[in-house]
Amino acid sequence: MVGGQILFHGRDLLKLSREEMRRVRGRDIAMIFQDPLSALNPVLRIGYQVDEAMHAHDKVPRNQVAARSVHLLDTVRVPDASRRVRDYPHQFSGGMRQRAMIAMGLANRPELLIADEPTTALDVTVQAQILELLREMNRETGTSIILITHNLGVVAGLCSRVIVMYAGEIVEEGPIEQIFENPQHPYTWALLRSIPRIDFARHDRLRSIEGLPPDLIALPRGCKFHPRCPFRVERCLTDEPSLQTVKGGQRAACWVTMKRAYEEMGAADIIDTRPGAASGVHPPGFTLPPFGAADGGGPTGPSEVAAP
Amino acid sequence: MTSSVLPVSEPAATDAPLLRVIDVVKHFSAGVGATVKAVDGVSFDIRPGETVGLVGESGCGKSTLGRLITRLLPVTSGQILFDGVDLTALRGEHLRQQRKQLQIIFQDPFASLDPRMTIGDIIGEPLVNFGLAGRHEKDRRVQELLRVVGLNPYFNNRYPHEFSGGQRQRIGIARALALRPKLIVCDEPVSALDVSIQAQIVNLLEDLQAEFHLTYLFIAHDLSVVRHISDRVLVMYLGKLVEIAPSDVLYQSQQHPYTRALLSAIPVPDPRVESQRRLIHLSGEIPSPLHPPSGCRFHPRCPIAEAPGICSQVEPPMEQKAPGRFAACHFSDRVVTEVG
Repeated sequence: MVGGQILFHGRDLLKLSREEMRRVRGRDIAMIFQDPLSALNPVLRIGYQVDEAMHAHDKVPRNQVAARSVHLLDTVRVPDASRRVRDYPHQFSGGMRQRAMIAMGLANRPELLIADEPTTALDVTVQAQILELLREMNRETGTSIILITHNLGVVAGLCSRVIVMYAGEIVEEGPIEQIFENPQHPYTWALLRSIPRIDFARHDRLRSIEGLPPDLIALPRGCKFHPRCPFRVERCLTDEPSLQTVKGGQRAACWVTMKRAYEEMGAADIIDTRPGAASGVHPPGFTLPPFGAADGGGPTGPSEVAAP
Repeated sequence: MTSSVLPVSEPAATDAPLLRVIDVVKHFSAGVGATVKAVDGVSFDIRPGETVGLVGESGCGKSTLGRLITRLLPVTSGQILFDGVDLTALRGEHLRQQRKQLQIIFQDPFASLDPRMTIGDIIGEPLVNFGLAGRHEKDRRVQELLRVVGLNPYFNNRYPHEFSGGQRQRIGIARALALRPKLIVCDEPVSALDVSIQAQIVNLLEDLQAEFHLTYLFIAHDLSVVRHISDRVLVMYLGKLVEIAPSDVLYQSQQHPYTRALLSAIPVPDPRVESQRRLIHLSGEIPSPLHPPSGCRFHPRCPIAEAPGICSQVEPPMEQKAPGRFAACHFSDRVVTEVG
C-alpha cells in the first residue's frame, strides 16, 4: 500500500501489526471468494475447514465449535449438514461449495463481509439462492456487506449503495435508485445501456462502450475514461476530475456529467457511441476505429469484397 | 419420427429448414456399466437466417449438443440434417466438404487460438486447408476479414497474446467467417468477456448476420443475452429440451415450470423491478445425468409435479401447445398460473 487509510471502527487497519491484523481478519472482517473450489482446501473435510475458522479466533467456545459448524452449514442450506460436514470439497456441488465458504465467512459473526464475485461462477438459479442468503444475513445479523461484482442485476437486487470503479478510481457513487435511474458519469450510463434486460419486450441495438479498458501501466492523461467517452470535452483530455456531489448522496467524477450530456449533447438520441461522438472532441492524430460491417453497401461476402 | 412433429417456429414456414436435428442422443461411457446421458433425444429445426438460442444450466448438455451439430463429437444415435444432408452418415472427404458450411465460435478466446500462430495464419488456415486461396490471395482475404470484424487489417502478422479478450473473440469470429459458412454455432461467445465488451461482440454478430445472411445457434447460460439476440429460444434441462418458444413471448408466458423458474432467477439491473421480483424456488440440485429421474426428469424439483403419479411415471413428449410454442410438460397449461 502506497498511501491512505482504512478505518475500521475508527482504527487504521494499515497501522496494525501482522498479529493484530490476523485477529481482525476472519473475526471482524471476513471474505468470500469467487471460486470456491480453489478457495477450499481439497484434502480437508468441509467440517474441519469451518471449525478451523473458529479455532483461529477462539470467539466461539471450543466445545461448541463442531456443533456450530453443523448449524452454520444448515443455515446456509447445505442439505443433511450433520453428515456432510465429513465430506471433502470435491463431493460438494459448486453452489454447495460456495455456501460452505459463506458458512466459514460467517463462523465468527463478522461485522463486515467482503464478497468478491460470490456468484459469478454459479448458475442463475443457484446465484439467486446465494443472494437470498446474503440478504437474509444482512437483515438478521446486521452484517455489513461489500459486494464486488460486474453484474448490475445483482447490485440492483442486493445493495443499497453502489460505488462504480474505472481504471482504479471511483468514478461515481450513490444510492442505487439514483445511480440506476439517473447515472451522472458517462461510464455508469453506458454500462447500464450495454446490457440486455430480460424484462424488456423488444430490444434496441445494445449501446456498446467502444474501445478497450485502459492499460493500467500506461493510463491516459486527464479523465481515465475520456478515450472511450462519447461526451468528452477539451478539458477531459488534460485535467482529471474529482468526485463532486451532484445530488443528495450521489457523487460523480466528471467534467460534463450526464445532466449536461442530455441537455446540450443530445444523449437521449445518441446512436453513435464512438469516442467523442457527441461532442466532436477528438485528440490530435485520432482516427475513428474501423466500424466493420457497418460501412459498405449491400450484402457482400469476404471474397467478393477482397476482389479489386 | 416424422417431420410434422418437429418444432418449427411457424408450421406454415415456407423456408426449408437449414438444420434439422432429429432425436439426437449422445451417451458417454463413465466407467464400467455407467453411462452419462449428456444429450438424450433432442429434436429441433433452424431455418435459414434465423438465430436460435440454446439455454440451460451447467451440465445440461448444451455445449455437447453444439459439438454434435458441428460433428466435433460423433452422435450415439439420431440424425443431423444440414441442407438435407445427414451429417451423421458422412465420413472423410464428404464430411470435410460439408464442414465448410458449418463453423463454431468458442467460449474461451484464450484457449481457442494457437499462441504460436500469427493472426493471419489462424484466420487463413481454413482457406489454405480447403485450397481456396494461394498465399497472396490469403493475405488479402485475411485483411478483409479483419476489417469486417472491426480489427486493424494490418494486425495480420501479430500473435494472439497481443490482443485483449474481446479482440481475440473478433479473431475467432473472423476465422469462423473465412469459409463463408451458412451456419455458425456460437458456444458462449461473450461469457468470458468484460461487460463493456460483450455488447460490442453481440452487435458485431448481429451486423455480420445481416451482411452475410448467417444462421446462428447461440448457446449461452445468460438468458438475457440469448433472448436479446435470438428469434427463438430452446431451453434444455438434463439432456433434453423442455421448451421452445419465440423469444419475445418467453418472458411473459412459459409452458414449462423449469423455464419459469429459470427466468425468475435472473436479476434485472433496475432496483424497482428487483424489489418486486419473486424468486421461484426449486428444491434440491440438478440430478446427475448418470441416473436421471424417471418420467419427467424435472419432477423431483418441480413445484407442480404429480409425483408419485403421471410426472414420475410418464416422460412427457415435446408437443405443440400453441402456435410456435412447444413444451415437454404434462401440465403446461398450469405453469403460468400455478408456478411461483
